[in-house]
Amino acid sequence: MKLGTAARIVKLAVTIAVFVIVTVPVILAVIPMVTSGNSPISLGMDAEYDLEYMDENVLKENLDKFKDKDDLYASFEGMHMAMSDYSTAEIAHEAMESGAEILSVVHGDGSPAQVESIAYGTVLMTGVATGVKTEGLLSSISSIDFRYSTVSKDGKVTVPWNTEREMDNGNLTIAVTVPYVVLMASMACDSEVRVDVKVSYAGLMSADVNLNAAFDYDAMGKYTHDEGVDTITLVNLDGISVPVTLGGSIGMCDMSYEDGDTIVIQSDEGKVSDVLRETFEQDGFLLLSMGDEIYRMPGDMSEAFITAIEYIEVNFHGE
Amino acid sequence: MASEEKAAAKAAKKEAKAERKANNRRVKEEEDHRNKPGKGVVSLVIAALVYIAFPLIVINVLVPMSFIQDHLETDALVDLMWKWLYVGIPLVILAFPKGYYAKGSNGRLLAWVAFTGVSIFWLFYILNFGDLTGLLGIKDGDTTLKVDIVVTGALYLSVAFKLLKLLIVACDHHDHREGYLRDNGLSKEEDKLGIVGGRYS
Repeated sequence: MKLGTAARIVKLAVTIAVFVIVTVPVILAVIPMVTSGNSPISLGMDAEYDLEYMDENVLKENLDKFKDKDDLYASFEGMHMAMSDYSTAEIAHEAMESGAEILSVVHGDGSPAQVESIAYGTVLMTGVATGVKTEGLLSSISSIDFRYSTVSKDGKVTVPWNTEREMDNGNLTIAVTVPYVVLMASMACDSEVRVDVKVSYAGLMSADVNLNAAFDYDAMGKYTHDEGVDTITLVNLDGISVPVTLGGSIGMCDMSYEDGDTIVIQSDEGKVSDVLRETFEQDGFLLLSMGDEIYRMPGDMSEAFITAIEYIEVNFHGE
Repeated sequence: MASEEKAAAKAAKKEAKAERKANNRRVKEEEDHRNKPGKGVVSLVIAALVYIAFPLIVINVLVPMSFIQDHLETDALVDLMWKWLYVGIPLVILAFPKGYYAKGSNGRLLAWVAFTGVSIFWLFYILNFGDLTGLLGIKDGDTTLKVDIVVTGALYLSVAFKLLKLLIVACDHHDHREGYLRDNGLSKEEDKLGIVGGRYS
């Protein structure tokens, strides 16, 4: 055999191998969808509720999506409540009282019911989870990652939201949660919402798509120093309200909700940002507490939140 | 007797066919071993379309379109297209000898080595070593969308395919060298020096 022929065979073999590795998984995923006429991507996820991140009211709102549907059961802590026999308020109350960590809504045959999104919310935080079914398009050779954050228009403050991504058999679930105090502090820095989507395919290519959008939620921040007490006041101007009037803490500072639209953080041991940073450097995170609820801020979010507080202290120093 | 004649006629026919085939191969080989200006021009025109006309069309026709101007931030794309064009000019020049020289000639091998080397540099340079941060931006009211693309894997794969193509050319050079020297009336001794008639050929 001529050397040129041998080299051509090698190139052909490599070309076929690359083609197979790169395209076959996608083709195999797409063909059944084309033949059945279904869309390759659809919104949807199993109706499985993580009760750690929601209170009774939010759980009830989630369950209300199944109000008019038959043959569904709420399953938690070994209990099965037929949704046609109980009101959603009763089921939500029972589930919370039981101390269950997870509540699932299932059909009579035990298969999970489907929802497009799940709302999360406690007195401390708000959030949402969305499911995307990709029917094998996202597989072992491809991946997708999401990251939500707020970015100030001058680029000085970037506050990441707690974004969790789960991939199971081509079905992607993205859950985003953010404490009210973090949301209001970051929006007080004149921020936009940023969504970073990172897609990679077969190790050949990755794309970062950064979407910056105005957020329908405005807040104002103010820093005051009065009689040895440093105060950060965050007032929401529209959009989401803080839920109630309550007292609590953030790190070693006091935190309170007032009038349903104001969050006050106070320290009598120096600037709020200094006290928070001291706690953060010691523990590696900030702990929020309000009533019975506790929320542990991830490290990157804690650090970014302190930067937002510093920004408010420098730029919005009032009397 | 008749069957013997038939067999002999068949054998003669087979022999004639084989001879015809060998002649055709010989003619094709001789053809392969001649420099071809036409092929050089075709190669040059294709390279000019890829490395000069394409970026110019993007810059002067696609980018100024009002739909694109209204919705896309194209500065990074235009920069990429200018890089594509500037570094592509040596490739257009090298495309001519790449197509012109005959199989088995040192000129063809050298042209391919140079073309492959420059085209790998061209790939790394225009793709910024695979990191196309901020390549595309979309703006719509208060919403902006920025696309950063990292194509390191695809870049290395493209380089691998370019090197495989060069390997084929090198193997062809080995296969055709003897025939090239024979068809051009050159001696093997001269070839050992790598120089034929005082010049690379």
